[in-house]
Parts: sequence; structure tokens; C-alpha cells
Amino acid sequence: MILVLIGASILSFVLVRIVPGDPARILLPPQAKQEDIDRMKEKMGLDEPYIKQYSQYVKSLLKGDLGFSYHTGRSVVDEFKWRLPATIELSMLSLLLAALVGIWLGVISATNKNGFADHASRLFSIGGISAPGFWIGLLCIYVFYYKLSWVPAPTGRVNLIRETATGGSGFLLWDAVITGNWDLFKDALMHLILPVFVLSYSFLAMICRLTRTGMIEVSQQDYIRFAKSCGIKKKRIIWKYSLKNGIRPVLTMLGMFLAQLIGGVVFIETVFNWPGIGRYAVDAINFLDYGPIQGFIIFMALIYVVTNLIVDLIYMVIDPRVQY
Amino acid sequence: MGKLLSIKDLDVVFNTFDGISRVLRGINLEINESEALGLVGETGSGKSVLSQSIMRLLPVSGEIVSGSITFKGENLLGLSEKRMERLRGSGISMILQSPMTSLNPLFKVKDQMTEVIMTHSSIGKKEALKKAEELLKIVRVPEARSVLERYPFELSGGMAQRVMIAMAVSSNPALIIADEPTTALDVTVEKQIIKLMREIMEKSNSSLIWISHDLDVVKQVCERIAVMYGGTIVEIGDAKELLSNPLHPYTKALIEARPSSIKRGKPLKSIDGFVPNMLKVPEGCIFESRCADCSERCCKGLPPELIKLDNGRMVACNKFSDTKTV
Amino acid sequence: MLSNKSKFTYMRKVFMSNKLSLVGAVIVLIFLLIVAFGPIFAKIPPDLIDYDNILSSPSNTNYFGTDQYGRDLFSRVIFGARTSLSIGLVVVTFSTILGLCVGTISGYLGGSFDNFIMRLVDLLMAFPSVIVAMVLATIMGGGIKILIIAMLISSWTGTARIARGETLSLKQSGYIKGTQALGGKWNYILFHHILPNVLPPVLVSATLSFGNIILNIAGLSFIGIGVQAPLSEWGLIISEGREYIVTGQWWLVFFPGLAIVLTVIGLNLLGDGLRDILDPRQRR
Repeated sequence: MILVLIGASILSFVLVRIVPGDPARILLPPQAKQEDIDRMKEKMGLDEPYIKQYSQYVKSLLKGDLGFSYHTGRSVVDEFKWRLPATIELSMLSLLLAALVGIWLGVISATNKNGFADHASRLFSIGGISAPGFWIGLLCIYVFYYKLSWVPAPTGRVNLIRETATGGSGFLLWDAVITGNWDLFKDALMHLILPVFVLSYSFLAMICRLTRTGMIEVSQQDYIRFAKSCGIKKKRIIWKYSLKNGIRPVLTMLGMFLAQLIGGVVFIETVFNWPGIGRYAVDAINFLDYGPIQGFIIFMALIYVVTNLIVDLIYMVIDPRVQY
Repeated sequence: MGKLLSIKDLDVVFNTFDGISRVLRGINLEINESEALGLVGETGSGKSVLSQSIMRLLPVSGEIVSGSITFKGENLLGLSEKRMERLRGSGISMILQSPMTSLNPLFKVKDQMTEVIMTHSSIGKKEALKKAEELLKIVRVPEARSVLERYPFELSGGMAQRVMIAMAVSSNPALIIADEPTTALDVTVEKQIIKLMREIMEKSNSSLIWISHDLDVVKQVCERIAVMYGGTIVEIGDAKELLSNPLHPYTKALIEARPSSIKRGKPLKSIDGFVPNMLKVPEGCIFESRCADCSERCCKGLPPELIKLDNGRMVACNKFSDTKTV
Repeated sequence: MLSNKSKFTYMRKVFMSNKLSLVGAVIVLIFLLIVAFGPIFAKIPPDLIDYDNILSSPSNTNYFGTDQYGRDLFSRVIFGARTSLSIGLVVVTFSTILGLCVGTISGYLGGSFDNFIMRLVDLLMAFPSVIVAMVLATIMGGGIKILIIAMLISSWTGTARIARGETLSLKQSGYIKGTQALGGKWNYILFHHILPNVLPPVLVSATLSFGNIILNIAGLSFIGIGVQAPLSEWGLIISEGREYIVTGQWWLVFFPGLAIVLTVIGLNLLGDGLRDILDPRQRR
């Protein structure tokens, strides 16, 4: 895992130096004056041997300095602090929705073969893997905003003419609740509905399929037969015992889900004008803003390491046979 | 003593991709109270299917086509699923073959035991826990308290089997069905489990059906033995008498084929031929193709019925059908 | 051993009996025809700008409507098909070859080399292709070149895993060991015994991943990395029409996306059908 972090730092270090042009100039806005460039040069230590430059870079990383974004005029860390909650709110809610609905549908379709839920989940899964998320998102905007006016325009997290809650954690729903600002709560919620739904769509399909497979496999097991022969009620067997055993395939894929979630978030944020990290990265690339890109690489590596840890921890909790 | 369980003309089929497999045909069997019956037969004879049918826990492709299973006067086949659930574990329990896979690997022993106990009684969790501990002592599990805290994969095969037995007898069932409970255990553990089951039978007035392919094991626990072949019962009788004087050709062959009946240095005896295909049940007697004793009429017409002889033995063989019928 | 002729007859029979895979095959065939003979279908040139006819809804002349420059959407989608599918084909071909080689060799050699490669594969698989493409785009700018490279990097891993899995299980099998015992050389074993058996599941995986690759190409072009104007590509067309969704011109987004969905469904169905005939062990 440490290897990943080191690799990422090397990559972002090398990144700026590979791009044609003067590294110091690249990291600064185009209208920077010569003295700014010189100061930057000194800060980066461009005259010194690469090893020294690298250690300088790592030191500043550890201090929490991820670079400067000339496009927005703020330091990368500040931008992240501001945008991260937006992305987390969106992605976590999506994952939650996908998990809850997906597992529920999966259990139902496993225990009612060829019933309504079974066909519904099959339909879902075909759509989930063949339709691009951004397309579904755009079509949903058309249907639910333009045609039906059920949801507000895709202007980001809240309507343009509204003041957001100052301070607080940045998680709008939470902030709104604890400050008792129900207007804000409703607004944020309405804006969240569509992007969360679209983002969760493909995962829902996958989770449903995986749960179904897992549950069917479990139902053939001896311990379920024995539980039935002891007279334990069917509902209890399904929802308490079979489920705990049958979720395994979902957990195995959890790491992959989280990675794909990050990929998907980029598209959804673009479509719905969501001020999160995904869109920030896309903007940075389109504007050739290298500071945030460097920071982004480090950040991604961090996410990878953290999510892997979380998945391992979850495994340890659920399955007593896993020990470290 | 009244009949505890009475199976009449039971027909069970499996609906498979390749056709209908008639796994049980015309089963007639009775069990008294406080009696231990051994059900013996080779793989494919239908003995497990019979036990699943009694519990009404057949797999999805299985179907009880006709017949009746009467338990304590009630026909089980007419009961609702809800009533059947209540009966399972309290009136009739089952012990399965491989203890290591029969306990849920993700739940502690105490959770699984208390679950079963609380399903059939109205006591709370704490009392259920106490009862679980007592049960474990009855089945002679050492250090009951710590075993309760363990997960199934931390138990040995013998201990897991004892836990299963404890769960099965927890509500004092009138009938216990043990489906090859010692087949997966090694010989020393097997002896212990046999001893344990005998103790349980002595102390309670439960009846027992012990399913096995091993005659030697069955004779240690059971008073009566029923022999199955190819989906039918071919002989039923008192254990000692049946083993010393088998009447049905299959029973004879089975007894002779045991390693214990062969003298040292002599080759093992086996029965020529193969188990018949249930998809295409032949006319006449099902054992005819492997029988050393068969005659013309054994391959035609209806299979021989189970007939009660004077000495109490029941046989399904054309050799005896000329004598009394039931 | 069945002769080759009877093997094909058997495969053809199984394939034909599976209706869904037939549908898949037909769809893929249609798209391939479009790629090859596209211009014949698109009567109106895709870059013909017509300011008198902007943003018009689907009609008899413009089957899919027109965009904000009056360009015929139907033609653009057809030409977009050529771009999307040919790029996809290139990526699939190279990534399959790469994955096949790496996977087979890694599985065959085993040991620390295999371990190292597998760690690498795990690492790569954890990063969504979007991110990889984004990083590459910053170094080398956008465009088709980096698109292909980025997708190659992310796609070869799946094939490699499958190839390696097959190789490993083959290695355990008796006849490989026997050949080795008889002094068979490694390249003979590799080409004569291992490769023919590894090829079928790899082909299945390639077909199935083709769909995923198309999705990724569209996605990346949608964001702005990848295919860029004035070329046409389905994702790009969608992003160009994106702002008009809130003003009601739904066709700009709907039709190119529909093309994507149909292609991917077709490829997935075809892949499933192939899996049924080539690798019946995996039958659901």
C-alpha cells in the first residue's frame, strides 16, 4: 500500500516535468510575471538535482500542501476541502441506495424465481451495463425536469439564488438538519434525487444480480436445510441467515465498486453541474491546470489505499473465519 | 403402543430436465412410539428422499405424487406450511450427515442453538442460553460454556455433530430422523456418537429412524431394520433376526458384502450389476437384474408387494408371495 | 475427437438455438455494415451546415433531427459509428493480444514473475479507466492517440487474468506434464497445447469487453478527453447536444446514446452466445 502512495507521488512529480515547457511556468497562470516564475522556480528548486527536488516535493506533500490551482486562484487543498463533501454526499448516498435497493431486490428475486422482481432485476441489469451513465442522466433530466417538472433544474446542489449554510461540515443535508433550515434541506434533497438515482443505477443492477446469485447458492447449502428442519421460520431464515451468507459476492466486489464509483462520479458531476471533485478534475484537465492534477493523483492514491483498508475491515467483521 | 408414524403407498418423483424420475414407489412403513428403526440401503435407494418427504423438505424439483404420511394421527401432506414449520424441530427433528457444513459458519454456536430453542418455546434469550448449556452437557460436550462461544469451524467433526444432536433434541421431539449421522466421522468418533444416541433413546421416549448404508452401525442402535432398494422397501424385520436370517435376495447380498462378514484373506464380495435408472423403471421386480434367485415372473407385471409373514417379517419378493398376504 | 467439420456444425446448431445470441449477432452485423458502408446510408453529408434548419426535430428528411448548426444528426451518428467502432476495434485487438501474451506467459512461468504481474494487474484494475485517461491526457493532451493508449492500459488486464487462469489449470493437467516429461520444448507446449485451449475463453472475454470499451470511449469523449471536434463520435455528439436538453431538444442526446446502447447490448448478447458454445462449463 505504501508502494502505491510512493508511486503516486513519483508520478505526479514526474508529470509536471514531462510536459513540454518550464515546470514552474506550467504551474502558474499564463499571466504570471517573471518574478513570480522565478520565485516558483526557487521554491521548486529546479536548479538542484532531482533527488533533492523530489524530497522537497514529498516534504511539502506531508505538510499538506498539494499545490496551487491557477484557474480558481485557490490552493488545491482548499478546493478539495470545499468540494469533497459534495462528492462524498453524492457518492455515498448513491452507494447506499444501490446497496439497499439492490440487496432487497436481489433477495426477493432469488426467493421468487420468475416473479415480478426477477424480471425487473433482469431488465435493470441489462440497462445497467449497456447504457452510459451520462446518457441516462441527461435523459432523466429531460423527462423529470423538462417534461414533468418533478425535480429542479440541474444547477448543482441548490438553486442558484439561495444562500448555502455557512460553515458546518459541507454536507448540506446534515448541516440543514442541525441548523433546522428545512427549506435548505428540501432544496438540497430535491437536487440530490436525480444525480443519486442515476449514479446508483448501474451499481444497483450489479448488486442485485450478485445478491441473487449468492442467495441462490446459499439456499442449497446444508446449514440452510438444517435450519429449516429445526423449524426456524422461512422469513427469518431468508433475512437473517441466508442473507448474511449470501452477501459475500457483493462484498468481494465492494472494492471494485468503490473504484467504479469514483469513475462514475466524474460523469454525473459533469452532467448535473455538481461542484465536486470529479468535475474539478475534468475542468483542470480541460484548462491545463496542472496544480490540481498533481494533487488529484495523490488524492486518488490515498482513496485507493483507504478503500482497500475499509473493505478488508468489513470482511473481518462479517466473516469470523477471516483473521489477520 | 400406537403407531407414531404411518406411511402408506407413498410415491415421490423428481422432475428433471431429462424426464420424471420415480424415486419412491409405493412406500409402506410404520414406526411405533419409542422405537428405533434402521433404514438401510445404498446410494440412490431413496432413503434420504424418504426422510425429506416426511419433513416435507424436498428440493424444488421433488414432488409427492400420492400416498399419505400420518404422524400422531394427522396427515402431514395435508398440513399448511405454517403448521409444518411448527412441527419441524418440535415434533419431528432431523440430524444431517455432515456436521461441518450443517451449521452456519457465520454464526456462533450459542446463537444457532438459542434460535432453535426460542423458536419452539416462549422463553427469553437468557434462559435459552442456559438451556443450551444444559443440552450440550447432555450430549457430553466438554466445556460447554466455551463451546457456545465458538464458531462452527472451530469445532471438530464429532463436537459439531453433538451440537447438531443437541439442537435436534432440544424440544423433545417424538420422532428423530438421523440421516447418516456418522458417515462423515472417523471410526472412534462414530462409536461415541452411536453410544450417545443409544443413551438418548433410553432416556427419552422419542422414536428414531437411523438412515445408513452400514448395517453394522444400524444394528447397534436399532430394534427393527428396513431395507430399501431402488425406491422401494424390500424387507422389514427385527434387527437381530433379519441379520441372522435375511429373506430378500438383496438383503442377503448386502449382508454378505460387508467387510465384516468376510474372512481374512478372502476377496470382498460385491453385488453384480448397477443401480437401476429411475427415469426408466423396468417392469416387474426392481432387483431382478441383479438377483441370483429370480424367476420368469420377476421381470413382468407389477413389482412384488410388501407381504407380512408369520414371524412378523415383511418381504417384497415373489418367492414369498405365494404364502400369506397382508 | 470430432472432426473440425462436425465441431463447427455442432457449434452452429447450439448458436442458432439460442435466440438471444442470434439477435446479438444480427445487431453487431448491422453495425459492422454501417462501419464499412456507412456513407451509403447517410445521404446528407454530416458536416453540412444549414442555418435555416437548426435544432429541428426528427422528420422524414432528417431522421434524427438536426443539431445547433443544422447538421443532420442521422448522418453524424452513422459517421460517429465508424469512429467509435473502429477505435474500439483497435483497442480490443491490441489489448486482447497483449493480455493473451502476458497472461499466458505469466501463468506458464509462474513463480515470482507471475506474482509480480498479478500484483500489477490488481493495481491497474483498481483504477477506473477514466482516471487513467485523465492522467494521460494531462501529460500528452487530448485526442485519439491517448484515448487508445489509455484504454489499452486499462483493458488488457481482464484478458490477462482469464488467459492466466486457463493456463494455470492447464498446467496442472496431466498431458502437459506428460509432454514435459517426454522432453517437449516450452514453445511447442505453448503453441500446440496451451494456446488452442486459452483462445476460446479469451475470445469470449474480448467480445464482452468490446462493449465496455465502447462505453468508455463514449464517456471519455463526452468529458472532452478522447475524440475531439470536428470528428464525430457518439459520446462527443452527446456532449455537443447536452445543453439543449433543458430546452427540449431531446433528440440530440437520445439517438447517439441509443446507438451506444444497442451496440453494447448486441456485443454482450453475442459474447454470451459465444460463451455458451465455446465454453459450456460457464453456462449459467
